[in-house]
Amino acid sequence: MNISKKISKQNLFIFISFALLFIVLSLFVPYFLTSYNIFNIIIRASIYGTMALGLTFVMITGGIDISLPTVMTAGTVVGVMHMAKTGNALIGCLLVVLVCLIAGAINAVSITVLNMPPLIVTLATQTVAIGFAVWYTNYLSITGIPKGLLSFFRSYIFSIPVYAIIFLIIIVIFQFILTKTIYGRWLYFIGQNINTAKVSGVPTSLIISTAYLISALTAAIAGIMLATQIGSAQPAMGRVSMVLDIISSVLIGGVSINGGKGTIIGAALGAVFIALISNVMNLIGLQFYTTLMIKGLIIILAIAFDSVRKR
Amino acid sequence: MSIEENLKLIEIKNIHKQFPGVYALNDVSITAYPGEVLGLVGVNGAGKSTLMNILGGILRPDSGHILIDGKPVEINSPRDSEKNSIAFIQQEIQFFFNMTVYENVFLMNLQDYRKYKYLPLLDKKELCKKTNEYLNMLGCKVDPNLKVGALHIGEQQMVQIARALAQGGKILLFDEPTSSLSLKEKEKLFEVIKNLKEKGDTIIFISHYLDEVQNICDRVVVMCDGKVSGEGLISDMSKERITSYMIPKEIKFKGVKSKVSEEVVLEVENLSGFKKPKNVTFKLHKGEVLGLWGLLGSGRTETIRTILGFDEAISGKVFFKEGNTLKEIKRKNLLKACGYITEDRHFNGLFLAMEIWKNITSSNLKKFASKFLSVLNTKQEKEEGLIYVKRLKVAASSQFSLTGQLSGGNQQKVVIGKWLSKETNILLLDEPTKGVDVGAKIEIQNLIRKLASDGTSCIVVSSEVEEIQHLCDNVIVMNEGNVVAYLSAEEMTTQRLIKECLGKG
Amino acid sequence: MPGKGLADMEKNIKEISLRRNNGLSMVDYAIYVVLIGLIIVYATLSPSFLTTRNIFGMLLNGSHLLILSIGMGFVLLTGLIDLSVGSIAYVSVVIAGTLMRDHGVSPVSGLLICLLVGMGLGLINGILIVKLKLNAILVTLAMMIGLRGVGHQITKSLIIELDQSLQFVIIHTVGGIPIMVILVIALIIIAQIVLSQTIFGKYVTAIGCNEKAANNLGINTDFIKIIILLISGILAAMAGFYSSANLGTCLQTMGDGWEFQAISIAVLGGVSLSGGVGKIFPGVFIGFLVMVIIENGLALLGTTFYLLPIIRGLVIFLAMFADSLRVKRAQKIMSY
Repeated sequence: MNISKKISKQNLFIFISFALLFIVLSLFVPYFLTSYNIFNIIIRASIYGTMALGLTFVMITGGIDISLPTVMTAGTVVGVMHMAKTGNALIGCLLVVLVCLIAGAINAVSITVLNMPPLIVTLATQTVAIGFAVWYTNYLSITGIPKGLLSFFRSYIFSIPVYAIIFLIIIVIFQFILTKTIYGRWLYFIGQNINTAKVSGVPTSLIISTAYLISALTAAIAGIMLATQIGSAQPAMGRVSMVLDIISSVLIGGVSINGGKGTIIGAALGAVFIALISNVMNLIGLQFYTTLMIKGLIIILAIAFDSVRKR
Repeated sequence: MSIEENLKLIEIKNIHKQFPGVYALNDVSITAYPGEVLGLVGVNGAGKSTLMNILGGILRPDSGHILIDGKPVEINSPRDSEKNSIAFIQQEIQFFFNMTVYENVFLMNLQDYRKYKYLPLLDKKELCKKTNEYLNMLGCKVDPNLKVGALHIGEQQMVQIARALAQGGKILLFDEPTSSLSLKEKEKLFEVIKNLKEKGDTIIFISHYLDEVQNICDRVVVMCDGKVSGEGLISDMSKERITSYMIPKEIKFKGVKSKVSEEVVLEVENLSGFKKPKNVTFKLHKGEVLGLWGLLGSGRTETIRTILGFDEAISGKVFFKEGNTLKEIKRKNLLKACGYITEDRHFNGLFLAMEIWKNITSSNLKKFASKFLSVLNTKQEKEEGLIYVKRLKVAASSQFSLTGQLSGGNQQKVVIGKWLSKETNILLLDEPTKGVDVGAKIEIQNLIRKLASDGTSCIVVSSEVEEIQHLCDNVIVMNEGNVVAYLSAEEMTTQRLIKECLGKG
Repeated sequence: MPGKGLADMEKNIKEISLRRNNGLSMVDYAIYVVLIGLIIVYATLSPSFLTTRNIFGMLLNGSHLLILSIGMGFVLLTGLIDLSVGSIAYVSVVIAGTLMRDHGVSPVSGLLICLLVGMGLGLINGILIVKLKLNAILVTLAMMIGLRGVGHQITKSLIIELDQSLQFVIIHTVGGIPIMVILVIALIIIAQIVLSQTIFGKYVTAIGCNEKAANNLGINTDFIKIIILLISGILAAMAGFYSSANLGTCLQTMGDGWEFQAISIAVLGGVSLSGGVGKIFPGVFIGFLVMVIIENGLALLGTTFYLLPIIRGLVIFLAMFADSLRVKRAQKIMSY
């Protein structure tokens, strides 16, 4: 199949604006083009981007999951605590995945079996998750990640950071699933018209549940990546404001809140774009909370632009 | 007539209204006078409801004029309609189910019921009192404080009528008001209509029940295929004459000889849902087109949905032919073996934002996927899309067109193509030609007959007499969720069909 | 037909019971049972539970949530949602507090300014969601996080001390009851009267029930929805002002998680997430009591503070579960 057909108009648009922005920034912002800075952007994009990809699955079905950052925190603190105590990196990572999947399962069951609105369910999960993380760690940060794991994640393969490689692998796998498999097609069906999907024989409850499980899984992966990057696990690692970054990424990438639209590549590009913007705001010395203001504005502009485009 | 001409209350002149693919109203002109009850009859799709929706401000005509008391008026919204003294009692109940009766009746006129002159508080006592007045007029004894959702459907209809009465208004439009009423309630309604008539109001009364039309109406207008096909004083219009105006004269139908075998492919036994269906039993034979006939609300769609497992059944069994024997089957599994063309393609029949080929393959993706990992062969899918676009003559530039941009008839063809692609032996079609233009309608009907003669067994739900008569080998008549009659081809006369579905209500 | 008599009889019984209960069911009464149960349990377990000091303390410390929940109740009734209430509260108090502290604005004017800011922010929500037709979840989520940024920007992430004189509503009592409690109960009653006895209230319920029909009938749904979001903003500002005055300072974390608690209280109180169903009094008020009693009781029993979010999460899951049962029943009854 033609590669040019794969890159849709929207993605092209993001890519071009991104390239232009990149050029402008390299010229005008000091320290932008240093390898340390580019590395930061890549790391940030990979970690947030992984969660954005999970969110994409959920949003294509027409749902939403705002619990990702805090669920990531909850899982990671449990896993890292174990790793720190026993030195077993593998079991630790599995624990991260397990805790996140439990949260994902709670979301899935509440939404499909109990018919509760996804926003409120994930809002509840978010509250419980961060409460749990704080309780579990007593506000302390947990260090002691096995050196082997740290060095693996912080290394490079063919001069590309491992974080980016993991992100790329996930992009490839998810893109494949969404565009080439029955499961992926079903996700779009559910998002476009759940009633027609049911009539067409799609097991809607099952498929929607898996979307929430997948997003929880991406939270786990992002958590492991983040923990190895900062060297510890702590309740503050997954702030609620991360949700803004993740949602902006998918919105810019063309995913619609109403479901049925969006691509993995778009979301990934969106994540890189947002990572770039966050990085630049840091470089020019904006405070964290100022960046929140700007990000809030970006989301509103993004949805306004999107809705104007539809008409 | 010349004296009355000066007193024309409402005049509809040369109204045209088109929907994509359907010419709903074609140069319709109707006049109604004060103090008369005008009956409006016609088969489904003749244009009656469209016309009423225009008067009610829900739809706007493409061209034409409406004059009230001799003055031209513009009705662009339900509010405008109300301002022009038109009260529209719709066929489908337009309610706020969680709100009380008195709230529903007076929602638009609450300003008139303030308790104190300057405070915005409502006078609940007065509201209830007035509500009771209107309900008593209709012989309805419902506590105004009850939530509308808790009422029986006949009572809900009464509340809807009470709302129209409370609005005031000189012109009342009743669209199938008696379909859910008991005999007593109907009598009361007719009394009310007579009183309104004497008051000088104009009533336009749409009904399928020709008996009632003859009972209550002064004049009757018959519509057919979007045109006025006949009108006259009720004394001049016998039931037979009315019926003759209702049925389109040109029928270019190409009947294909049916080849119904004795082999039973599907059997339904004592199937009951929560409200409808009730104890439905029938057999479907190979190559048969079995009709499900009845009025709106008779439970035909519910029956199909219950058979396929979309609605819960509280009793009954379904048997499906696998191999050589009829085995009992779990209803949810039945969907895998059947094709289901739903009543409302926009609601649950199509993915409007997707291309035609994606819709065509949507019910049977397994056919185009690899065994391992379920990878889809989109090239094959697109070819399938093209095959059905050609076979069903879908008027689109290619299989890549978006389904939402097609006309009604072509959209319906895509729906049919979707299920044909699955190559099932049983097809369940719920109003397959609803909202479809005449040309596509005939194509679809021919297609169904051809499929049947090739061995596919079909169940067709329809509300049109001619469609039932020409498509079906046998027909089941339903009323209030029950099967009330089983007619074979010879017994399917228009009179018999209409008689059976009206039941003893 | 055999068995027909039985079916008719069943149908009659169902009809009669529906009329008597007017569509209500066991689920709607359950919350009262829970409330009484909780009171009994805590009173038994902890001697200091039923003291006036504790009760008033409980009500005073939770008043901000009650005010917030009234606003959230109205928002949910129209079928919308407002996740930004916590941040609106924060920004409004920050602006008013800064003006009071640095520019000698009087406490009364400070309150007015606070409410005005809240109203303005609510208006922004209204325009974005209703006029521009943007998605309510995304807009209020963006506002929730973005406005917190604004607040920090103004305060440079510091706390703001508030004038002691503002605490008079808490300290002073009338007939032994703190003025604030009286004010808040009055607010609840007024809100309920507005909802159930005014044209505006009826329109709000109608929009939540069936917006399309409401539009068809000629109700100006856009206008009403904007007003509701405006009210939500004002009440959020009010809640923030009270909470800060109560504490004496405006913390940087004020308002954090308030939207979640407000939604929980509203849902507990019987306001349906799908719109059109629910009351302020007794509804939201009872939800508030249940929520506040649970937390107060747990605190008295010495439960660790960390468990609170988990308990809150559980509470809302249960509340939503009950709500979904109610919706299922309504669907069964409707197509009778």
